[in-house]
Amino acid sequence: MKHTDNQYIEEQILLLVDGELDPAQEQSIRNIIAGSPEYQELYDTYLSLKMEDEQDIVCTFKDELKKPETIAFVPAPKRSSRWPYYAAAALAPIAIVSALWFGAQKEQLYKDNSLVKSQLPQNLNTALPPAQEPAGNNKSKNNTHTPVKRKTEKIVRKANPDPGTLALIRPEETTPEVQRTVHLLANQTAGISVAAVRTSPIRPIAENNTTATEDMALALAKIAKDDHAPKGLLGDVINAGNWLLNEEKSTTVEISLGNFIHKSYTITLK
Amino acid sequence: MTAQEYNIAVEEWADRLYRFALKTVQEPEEAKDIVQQSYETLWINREDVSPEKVKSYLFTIAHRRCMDHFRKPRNSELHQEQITATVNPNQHSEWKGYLQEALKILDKQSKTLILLKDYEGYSYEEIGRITELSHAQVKVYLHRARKTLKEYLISKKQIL
Repeated sequence: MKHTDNQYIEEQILLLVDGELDPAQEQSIRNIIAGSPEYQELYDTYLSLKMEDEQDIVCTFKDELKKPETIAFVPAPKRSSRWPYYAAAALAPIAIVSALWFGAQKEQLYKDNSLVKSQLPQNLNTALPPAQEPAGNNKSKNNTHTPVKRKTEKIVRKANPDPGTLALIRPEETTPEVQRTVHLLANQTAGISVAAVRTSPIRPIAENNTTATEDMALALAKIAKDDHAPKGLLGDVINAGNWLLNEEKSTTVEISLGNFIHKSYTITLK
Repeated sequence: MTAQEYNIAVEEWADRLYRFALKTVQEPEEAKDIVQQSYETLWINREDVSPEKVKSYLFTIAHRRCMDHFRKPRNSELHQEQITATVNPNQHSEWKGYLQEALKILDKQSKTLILLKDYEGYSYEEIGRITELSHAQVKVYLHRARKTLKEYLISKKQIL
């Protein structure tokens, strides 16, 4: 655009009036204005249109706007809430206590499981289910069982640690390799270290290291017919213990139910 | 910003802010409300406003309140009465009186730009920040407003 263009000159004059030109531009337009009476008049007109600040109009209520300076400066509350931090602080002790408690429970479980396993003789250990995965589908026809963790069906007896240790495992906890077998380990009877082997529950008949056996299932079935015989899960334990020891013997049994609900009961075999 | 700095801002800018609001809305009570709201907003957000940006902050708030004021449904008779009461050419020189009168023919936005430029001496860029317009928009609207004023006053002169 040429500098002789009236619109351009008028725009430059307006920018000059508003003080928006740099020194070079300002000098340039001032030269043009000085050389033209028409532009000089236009410049004067625009200059006269500028509003002058009216100092006589004042704010009469300043005191209402002011704040007491004696009040300590208090930062305005931040918009972001801090409640997540408070919640985290409150939950932290609970989480720690819970972790410790569960840790203790787990440790106890491992102790129990190791106890069971440690009681097994070497030659039977491989045939028995892993202590931590005791369950098995013994009804499976194709013999492929999926280990199921049975938390409430683990029964561990630990009394008279040595001699006289008795460990009872429910039939459901057996592997397919030892189907329907209740493993009864006892060394209370002198010289008998293994009381249960493959395929069926047995009871040693001879006094020392014999392989002669009696089927426990049949024996227990007979006992169950007796109205006075103990019933239920504990009853089965008592009956099995009596059957194994072949006598009514007072024995203390501690039972652990489940992995995390560790409760101990003391019962007496009669 | 401390309470002391806030009070300094009141002492320093309240007059100018009130003049700007009064010239914009033409109602003394409304202008007072706008100034009070502007300073109240500053007080609430004083933690985020540095002392050197107080003036710009106050005028930005006041400008928004003025625009809110124009959006409100109003009694046209009362508004006209207020304008008549405010515009009294006898109080100013004849030219200034005409100029003030001419200011009323401008639309709200153009009038705000003129006031910010002439009364407060803000640059186009600063006016753009306050009114949320671009630099080019400020320039165009402001030049158009000045041409409107010029034509109005020229025609007024010819009549007189």
